[in-house]
Amino acid sequence: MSQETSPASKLPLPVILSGLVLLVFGVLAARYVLSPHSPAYSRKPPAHYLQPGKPLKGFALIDYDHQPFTPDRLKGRWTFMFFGYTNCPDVCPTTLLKMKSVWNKLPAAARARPAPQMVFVSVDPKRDTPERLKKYVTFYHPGFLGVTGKAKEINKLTHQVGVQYSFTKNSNGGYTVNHSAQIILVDPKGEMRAVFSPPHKVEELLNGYIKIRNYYEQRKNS
Amino acid sequence: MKHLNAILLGISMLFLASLAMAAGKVEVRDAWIPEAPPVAGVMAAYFKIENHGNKPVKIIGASCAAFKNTMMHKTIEKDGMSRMVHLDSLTVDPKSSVTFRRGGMHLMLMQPKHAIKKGDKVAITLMTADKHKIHFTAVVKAATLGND
Repeated sequence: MSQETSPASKLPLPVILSGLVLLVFGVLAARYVLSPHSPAYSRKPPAHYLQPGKPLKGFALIDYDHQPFTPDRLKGRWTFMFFGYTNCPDVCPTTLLKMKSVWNKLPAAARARPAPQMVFVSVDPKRDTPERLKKYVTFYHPGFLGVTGKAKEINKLTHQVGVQYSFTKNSNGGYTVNHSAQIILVDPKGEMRAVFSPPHKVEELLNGYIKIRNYYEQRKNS
Repeated sequence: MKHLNAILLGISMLFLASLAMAAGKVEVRDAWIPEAPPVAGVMAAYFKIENHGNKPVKIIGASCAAFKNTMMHKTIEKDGMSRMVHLDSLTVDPKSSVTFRRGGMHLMLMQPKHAIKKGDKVAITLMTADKHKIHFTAVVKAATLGND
């Protein structure tokens, strides 16, 4: 017969009991905090900030003027990025209008630093040629940039920023695109710094951007 | 024979009048279409359907002569993913209304037959399950956030 005892049986009873109490308390507390009814969940956080930033690399897309759009194009200025397609009747036009509104509300000093670039990435290259993309994007703002490319290259970027998309056939033979509607903010080093979740509010985008940029510049100068 | 004709005529007039009355209980207001880039193959119409009657009204389809295809859609945003769901039908409860607005339900207008510009008036028809047609006009307005 073995004389070995389990480690737990060596502990005095009060220690085991208080351990159990703590465990139960911990589980209950976690359940409360993680519950959708807790105050922490009462409102979806408008933005998720990344510290440190996440460098975006390895993608080779083209812009609407057929110029390469690679990680280098993210350097030297802040970038707002949104993913969609031009046959999108509701979400893409509305989001582009919100990005335009953010642009228009930027304080003059913020535009001169230089101004952030607003980029619409089409995940539907089959229909969205650079020419079509240019007419579409510049309708919302002449300074906005449209970008697309081969599916493989688009996926290299979407995977890094956590954007998903898929295609669904509709009854008239066409298709629609399901896509993540986050707006991604990239810093002048080409690192992802924030993800703004839909539904977007112009003020939240604007204030979030100004806050992150100020924080980033203070750290850079300190 | 004369009497029969008169009776038939009377019955059909009553029938038509009741149809007109039933249709009159549903009203579409504030219909508008945001102007879209000329290359856009799709546009969206937004409006409010008011049912003043005592019975639910079931909308089973929509048509618009200015576009090749018209569908009722709903944008659903879940976990940051936005997708469009085709609505086969939509019921407006008695004495209530349903609003088609950005980020929610919209009439998806596909493949315009001619250029649609700001200021244009576009005729749209909704079909109900009991074969009524609700006609209304949507105005094309500048694509700004303020026009909602």
